[in-house]
Amino acid sequence: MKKLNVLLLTIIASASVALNSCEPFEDTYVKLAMDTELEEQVAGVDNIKITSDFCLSEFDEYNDNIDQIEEIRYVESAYFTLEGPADLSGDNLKLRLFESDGTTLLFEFVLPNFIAANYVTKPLILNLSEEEIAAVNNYLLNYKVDDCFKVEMSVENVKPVNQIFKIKSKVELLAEIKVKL
Amino acid sequence: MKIFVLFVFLFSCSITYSQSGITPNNLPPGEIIKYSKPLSTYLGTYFNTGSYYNANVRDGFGFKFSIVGMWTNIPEDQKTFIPEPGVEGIGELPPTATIFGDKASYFVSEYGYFTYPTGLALKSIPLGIYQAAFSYFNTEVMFKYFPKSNFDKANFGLLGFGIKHEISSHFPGLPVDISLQLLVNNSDAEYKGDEVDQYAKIKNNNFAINAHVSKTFEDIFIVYSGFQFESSSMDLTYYFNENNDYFGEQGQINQQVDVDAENKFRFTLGGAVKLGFFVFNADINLTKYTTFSSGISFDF
Repeated sequence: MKKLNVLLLTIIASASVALNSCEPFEDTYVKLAMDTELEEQVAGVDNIKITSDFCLSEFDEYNDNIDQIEEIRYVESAYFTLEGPADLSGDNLKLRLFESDGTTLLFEFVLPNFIAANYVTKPLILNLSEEEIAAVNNYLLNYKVDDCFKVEMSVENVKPVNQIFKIKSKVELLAEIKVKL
Repeated sequence: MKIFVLFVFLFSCSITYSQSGITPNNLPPGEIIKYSKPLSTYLGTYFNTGSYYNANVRDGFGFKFSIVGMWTNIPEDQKTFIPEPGVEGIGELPPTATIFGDKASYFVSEYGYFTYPTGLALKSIPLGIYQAAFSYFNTEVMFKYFPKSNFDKANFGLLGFGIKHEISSHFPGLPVDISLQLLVNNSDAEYKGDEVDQYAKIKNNNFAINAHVSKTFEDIFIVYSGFQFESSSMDLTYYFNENNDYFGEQGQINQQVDVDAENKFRFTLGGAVKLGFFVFNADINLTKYTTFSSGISFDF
C-alpha cells in the first residue's frame, strides 16, 4: 500500500507539471510605431495645410497579431522635419489627429512659434492632455472597425514668403498592443 | 499550438519570429546579447538537468533509457534588461523585455521611434528530453542525441555525452553511494527563412561536472542529492535588420555574438521509486532558474 501511494504521488506530481505547463505564456505588449509623411509643394502662400491618412493595417505589428489583440493604447507621438528650406518658420503650427472621417478631432497640438530646422535632428514630442489621450484610446477600442486616421498639419504666416519650396515632414504615433499569446 | 510555438522558437531558432512583434533581429549586437542571455541560461539549465537519480552504478552491464520532463520557472529579474543602444541624446531608458519578458521599451530621436522587441512572456518553460546510458565496471556512459534534421526552413541537431563513475565502489562499507559525473552537450539550430534577413543560427555549448550521492532503501526507494558546476554559452548569428538609420554600417549584414549563460552552480534534491525495470523519479534543481524535473526510466 505504501508503495502504491508513492507511485500515485509520483504520477500526480508528473501530471501536475504537465498540466500546469500547458499555459506557460502571459500577455505580451508590442510597441507599434506608425508614421505618416506630410509633403507639399508650397508656392507663395501665407498659410499651409497638409493632410495625410494612415491605417493600422499598414503595419506588420498590427497585421501579424490581428487575431490575438486584446487592446491597443496610445503611448506617445512626435513630429519630425524631413525636408524644407533652412529658414522655414511660421506661426501656430497645428498638428491635428482625426478619426478616419476626417472631421472628428482626437487631438490638437499647437506650437506658437514654429522653426522647422529645430526638428530635423530632434523630434518635437506632442504633449497631449489626459482628455485627448482618452479620446485616442477610445477610438482605438474599435480598431477592428475603424483602423484609420487622418493627420493634418497647418502653419500660419509661413516664411520664407514668395518662394517655391517643398516641405516634407513626418508625424509618428507610438501605440502599445496587448497581445494574447 | 502554443507549445509548438515555444518549440519552434527555442529550437527551430527563428529569432525572426515576426508574429507577435517578436523581432529581435532589429537589435544591434550589443543589445541582442542582453536580450538573448536568458535563453542561453535556460538552454544550459535545460541540457544539464535530469542526468541522474541514483549514484549507484552497476559493476555488471546495465542499460537505461529515460524520458525526462522539466518545468523551469523564469525569475522576474530575467525578463527585463536596461537598454543601452549607444545613441546620443536619448538619456537613460526604462527596462525592456528580454526573450522571456513581456514589455517592450522604445526611444525616439532624429530617425523616429525605435521600438525594442517584446518577448515570449513566459512565466515557466515546460520541455522534455530523452537520454540513454550504458554502464559497466561502475562506470556509466550517457548519450543525448538528435540527428541533424531539417524542419521546413530550419534544422536542428543535438549531441550530448556524459560519463560518471561510482567513487564509492572503491570504498566498500560506505552507507551511501557517491558518484562523479561529467556532462558535455552541444546543440545546433539554424533558421534560413525565405529571405536573407530572416537568417539566424544558434550553437549552444554546455559543460557540467557534478558530485552526487544517493541512498537506496529496500531496493525500491532512492533518495538522491548532488552539487553541480555548470558553464554554458551560445553563439548566435543573425541578420541585423536595421530598420532605422541609428546603427549605420552594423545593419543589413549577418552579425555573430557570443552569449555567456548565467547558470553556474546547482543543488539537486530528489527521490525515485524502482518498480521492476521501471524507475520513476522527481527532483528539484536550485540554480539560476529553479527547475523541477520528473522522469520515467527503463533501467536494467
